Amino acid sequence: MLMADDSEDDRLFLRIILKGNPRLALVGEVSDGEEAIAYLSGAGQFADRERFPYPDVMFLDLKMPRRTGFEVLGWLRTQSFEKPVVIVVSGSLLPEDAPKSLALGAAAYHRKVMLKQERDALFREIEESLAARGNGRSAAQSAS
Amino acid sequence: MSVDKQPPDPSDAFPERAPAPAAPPLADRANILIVDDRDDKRMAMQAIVADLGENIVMASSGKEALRRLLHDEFAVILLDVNMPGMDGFETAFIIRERKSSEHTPIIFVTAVNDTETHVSRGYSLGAVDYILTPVLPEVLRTKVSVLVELYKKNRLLKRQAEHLRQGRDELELRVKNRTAQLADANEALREEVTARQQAETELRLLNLELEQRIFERTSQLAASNQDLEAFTYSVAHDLEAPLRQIQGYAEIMEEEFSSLLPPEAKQYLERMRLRSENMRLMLEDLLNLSLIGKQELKRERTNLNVLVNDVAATLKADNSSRQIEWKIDDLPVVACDPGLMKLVFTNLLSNAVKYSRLRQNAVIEVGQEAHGDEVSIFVRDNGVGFDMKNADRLFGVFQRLHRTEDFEGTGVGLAIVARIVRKHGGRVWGQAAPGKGAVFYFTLGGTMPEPGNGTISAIAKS
Repeated sequence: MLMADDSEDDRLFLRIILKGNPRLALVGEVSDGEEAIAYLSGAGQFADRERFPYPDVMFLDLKMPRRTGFEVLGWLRTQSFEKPVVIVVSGSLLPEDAPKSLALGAAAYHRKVMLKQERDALFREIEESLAARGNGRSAAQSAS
Repeated sequence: MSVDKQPPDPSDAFPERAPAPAAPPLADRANILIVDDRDDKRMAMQAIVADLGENIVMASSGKEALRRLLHDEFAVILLDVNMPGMDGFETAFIIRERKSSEHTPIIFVTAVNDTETHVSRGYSLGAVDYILTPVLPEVLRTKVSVLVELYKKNRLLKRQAEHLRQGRDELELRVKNRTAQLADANEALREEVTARQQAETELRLLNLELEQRIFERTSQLAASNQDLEAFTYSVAHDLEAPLRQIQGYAEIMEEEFSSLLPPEAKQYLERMRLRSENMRLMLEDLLNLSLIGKQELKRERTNLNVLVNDVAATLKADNSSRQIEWKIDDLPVVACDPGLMKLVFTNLLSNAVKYSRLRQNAVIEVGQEAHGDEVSIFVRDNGVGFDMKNADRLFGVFQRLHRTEDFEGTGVGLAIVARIVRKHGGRVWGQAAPGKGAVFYFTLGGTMPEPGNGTISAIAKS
């Protein structure tokens, strides 16, 4: 799992949630859109796929500096390599964000509410999305 | 005048005297001048014409006659031809030379035997007549009387002409005055009209200026309102994330460390969680409230009964354990934003359900009522009501008239209703009494139908 969120607290919360599921391993945390893109494309330090494995699932916040979640989604669509399952996790209340995220290729959209409510629904969605894609995949291929 | 050549008729020796006319008043009398150097002849002539009752003046010479003529006007001059010094004709010549007497009739008194010469010398002077001595009284009297008559008539005419002239002058003066008055009045009027027009123009300009200022002020207010709403939105939005995180930490603490926490600590954490959740709800409501202002109002023909039934169905399902009687009347079809209108009913009806919670048999009514020439929609409940003295706080944001312990809520529901109704150009108001339930009315401005008619009578303004 790759997590992209500019808020330290929110990353903490997500980390705690993910701890509850042994099947999910958090491999990377980035704090803005540009870093997310760098990670996925294996640029700079992220070329080291031993240390920074390619993720199966990415949790993407929408409101981030330097590149927003929507921009990352947009960028992903232009890429030809195998894309991770993207779960948009957002603190926004704007009703148009959910359909927009899905339209840009996100597998699911979640609002950042309290932990308990999020957790089970999240796990379920992750499993479903992975199954749809075909799970059991090993570490991601490195980008060219 | 003809010369009298015939000898006196014996039968005229004692002519019957015509009755003398009454003497004219003093001012009307004419002057008769008798000129003869011989006293007796003068007296005789005077006696003859005295009956006429006119004013007789005597002169004994041409010179004296001329002197008299300087002072007065005469109707006729009886002039003796044979006088020493200046004779009658010479006198007459000079008389004729004077403007004042150039037309005064002269009767020459002459003896028969001098006729031819006298006649030829006299006539060239004009306005002369002859009378032969011995004078026949009747003849003299008649001739003089005719001339006096003529003179008087002339005099009257002249006077009348003078009066006329005076009258005309007076009239002209009056006309001139009146014209001047009118001109003045006109001028004054013109000035007044000009002043009036100026005042009108000024007023019109002032009005335009005022309208311009009102327009500007309204635009300012609208912009300011928009700013305020945008501000509310962004503040509420920015407050959400940290609040959510506070809640998150409280939950983590409860979950991860519950075994380590004493019961009070757990209680405090729970309270923290509840209050944070409350605040989160308030923020969510605030966000919704500010979003309403941002939205474009889209008006469609909406069947209000369909909306109300929808909302009521949801509430019935959520409150299946309660005994609620729903009385929903026929509602009009109006031009409104259906989404926002649904919010209005959701808030009003869920309030009705909430505040009638303590009643065994809650009754909720929805219907339409005419208020003057407007139609309003109402929602009535028989719940706990409220005190009308707090009515001005009803639609305030986060203003609650009940304790949260008794009835939960953030106090934004009615604020949302008010904002939506006002956005449609309508009004909303509430009436209640403590313990006697409450009724809320609202109108939708120009979109409401006429009373007694269930369809739109006017399409709403865009």
